[in-house]
Amino acid sequence: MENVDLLFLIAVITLSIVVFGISKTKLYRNNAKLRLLYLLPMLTAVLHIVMTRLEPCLSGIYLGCFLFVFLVVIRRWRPAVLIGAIALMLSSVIFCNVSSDYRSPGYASDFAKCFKQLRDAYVITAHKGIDWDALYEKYYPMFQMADEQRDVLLCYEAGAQFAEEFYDGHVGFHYGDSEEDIESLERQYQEKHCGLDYGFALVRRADDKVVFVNVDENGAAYKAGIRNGMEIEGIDGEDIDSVIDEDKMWFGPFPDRENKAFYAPLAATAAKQGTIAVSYRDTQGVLREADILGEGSFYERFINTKNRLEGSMETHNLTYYMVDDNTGCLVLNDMMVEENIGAATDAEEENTETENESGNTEAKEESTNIEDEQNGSNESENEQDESYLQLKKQVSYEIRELKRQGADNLIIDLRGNGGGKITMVSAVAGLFTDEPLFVASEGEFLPDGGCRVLYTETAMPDNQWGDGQIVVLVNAFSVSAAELLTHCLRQMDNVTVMGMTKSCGSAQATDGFSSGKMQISGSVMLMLDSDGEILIDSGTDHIHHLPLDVRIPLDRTAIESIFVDEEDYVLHCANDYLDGKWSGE
Amino acid sequence: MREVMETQWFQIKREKTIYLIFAVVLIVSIVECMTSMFGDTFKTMGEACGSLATMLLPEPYLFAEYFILLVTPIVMGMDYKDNLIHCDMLYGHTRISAFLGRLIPTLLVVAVGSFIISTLPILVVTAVAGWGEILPFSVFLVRRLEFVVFALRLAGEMVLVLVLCKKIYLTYVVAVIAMLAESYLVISSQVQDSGLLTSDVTILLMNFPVRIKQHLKAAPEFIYQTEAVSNNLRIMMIMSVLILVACLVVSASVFDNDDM
Repeated sequence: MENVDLLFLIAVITLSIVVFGISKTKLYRNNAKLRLLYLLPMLTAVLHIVMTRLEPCLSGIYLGCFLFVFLVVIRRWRPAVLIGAIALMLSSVIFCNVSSDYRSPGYASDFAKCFKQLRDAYVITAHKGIDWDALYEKYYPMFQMADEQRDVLLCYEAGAQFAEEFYDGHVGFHYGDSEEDIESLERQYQEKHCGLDYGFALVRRADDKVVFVNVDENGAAYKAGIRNGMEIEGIDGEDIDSVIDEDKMWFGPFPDRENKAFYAPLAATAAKQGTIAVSYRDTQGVLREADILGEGSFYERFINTKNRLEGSMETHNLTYYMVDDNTGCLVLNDMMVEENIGAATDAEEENTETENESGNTEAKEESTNIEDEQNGSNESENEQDESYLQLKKQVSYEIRELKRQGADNLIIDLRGNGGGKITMVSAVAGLFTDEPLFVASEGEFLPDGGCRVLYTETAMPDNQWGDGQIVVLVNAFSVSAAELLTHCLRQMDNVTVMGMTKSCGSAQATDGFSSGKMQISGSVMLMLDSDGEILIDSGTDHIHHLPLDVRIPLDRTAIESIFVDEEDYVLHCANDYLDGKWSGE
Repeated sequence: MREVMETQWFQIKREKTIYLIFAVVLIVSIVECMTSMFGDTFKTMGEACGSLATMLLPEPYLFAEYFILLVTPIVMGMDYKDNLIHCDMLYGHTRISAFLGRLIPTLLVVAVGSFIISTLPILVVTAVAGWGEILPFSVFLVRRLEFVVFALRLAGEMVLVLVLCKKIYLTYVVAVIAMLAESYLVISSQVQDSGLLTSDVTILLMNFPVRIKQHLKAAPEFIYQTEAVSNNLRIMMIMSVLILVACLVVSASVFDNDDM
């Protein structure tokens, strides 16, 4: 029995005894006003219900309060009445302890509500091959079990697995009151599933060999002779390819199966317990075996390895810098802009203008005029939301700064970009083009199964960059609006999309549905490409339609650079490509 | 009992305070609704109309609740102060006849009064701006009838307090304390969705789940579920009836055993 209910029980029993005692006094009987005190136990019950909600297992207490009040007001105030009422109240303790429904957290009912909303709103059911009834039959019992065990982690597990079924980066599951609660639960889930730390992580090299990376120099694996880049052959006598099971991956989402396969080796040891026997080839190619004892959680190493593979994730949004003498880099971690960024840009612009009094004032004025003209036409269309103008202003400023510092080539770093609004995409893309660029069309399905375009978003030309070469960097965590921007910029001849993995593969507009502390998001607005086909999102084949122009292989050089030299290898490759030094395909 | 009821009706008809309360509450409710609907508050939420007012304005329910709290003690308790109840006994009426003879007219006044006060402001909005297409009119009427069930529950609670303390002013004091306590609990976010509080019930009655379908260019579409009786409302009505019955049984028992 929970403390709050126990306190409630003690309070009503005490109040009943007190009221019973003073009801025997002469003063009490002759004063009608004081009879309102009869209601105290019942009022306490009402207050308890209001503050903690109605709990059927506490019916004995509710009924005991009512009967006590009833019998006392009709002057049946014998000790037997009091004892009977208290006995009835105490019976609740038994119900609370034996019933599995007592104070049920309501995960299953919250899931049912969110599920219904998601099913009604999800726009690419047929494209993704979603069987809603089968999903409900599979996952509702899991939430019921979480209810029975009152286990929020079990609830999160069910939700996370449910979201994975969609192969859609926009389908997400969250549970909690605040960002901290949500993140804490996600971390608990990952810590629970990532398994023991054996002092290394595994990745699949471009030549299809699985190799050790991020080897802990103080760990058992290192002491056994395992080094970064060595090939692993198997674990516990099982071939390594059999050990790596993409269906048992516990982190994601990976709507594209190539991306999923890339990250799958990270989960290879998750199910292992205690000591594992690892067979591997040393630097001479000699097959060796080592027994390695797992200690502590793999979580920190997992996060560290994943972050390194993803690339530079610690750079702030809208950072810009020169990679070398003629290549600039513009980092967009989010298709969003903070409210005060416009003011900061204004101040910086003023400083720059002061420093370069006789500099390119004319050019700036000209570009500002173009900007104002462009802004004027967009303002009437977007009176409700003008934050995209701030982003445009900031990016425009950064482009000018990079050009001033001598940038002829540009790297637009969209790695880990979690998306944003489509107006942001149009605003940014317009800064690199002389021609209007197609961004995306909003569509709806027709009864015959075809699609109809409702509205097309176009990036209007406002070229601040010129015609220098551009590389757009993406990874498996560039999602939504970041993918729209990539798709949009890719239409230009001077743009190349590069990455070690493809982008996420989720470009439909998203929205969330909540019940209680539970929130499930999904794709709710149909986005089409210029041919009227579903834009980017993978179908039942789990391959999305935004390919890389240049894939950077995770080869020996890459592993050495990322895990030994701790460099941003992908950025270096992009720079080499722009400098004409790229030797890959 | 019939004679007691006729006497009670006669008294109600002559009691100007009831008419005054009814008129003031109704007028203020209409003015509040018109101001809210045609003022700045809902300008951005679409064109003002009766069906939008049904979903957005809590005022008709709120003022109907004020009416119940003010009128119930007067109608039910007017005979306590002049000892007429005592006279009923002397003239041979049973205690239960005396109780029901007062209770039934009280509940009728509450039911009719709360229905009119909760309905008329929306009808005035409709007369000015039309009904609109969001909700069927029948759904509006059914929701108002559902509110009457809750109104009777409130009246039942007031009757219980009144027969216990036999003082109209003390009943008002209890009602005010209950309202303040509810407001405090709601403001301090210490309440769960129990369906017991007046605020819970008002939200339930105004709740038509809506899915907002966003568009890139066009205005968002609001897709409403316009059920007249949702599952939660059904539970609310069952709870209201149970509480009403419990209050009336206890009240009748107190009345039957009282010293008068």
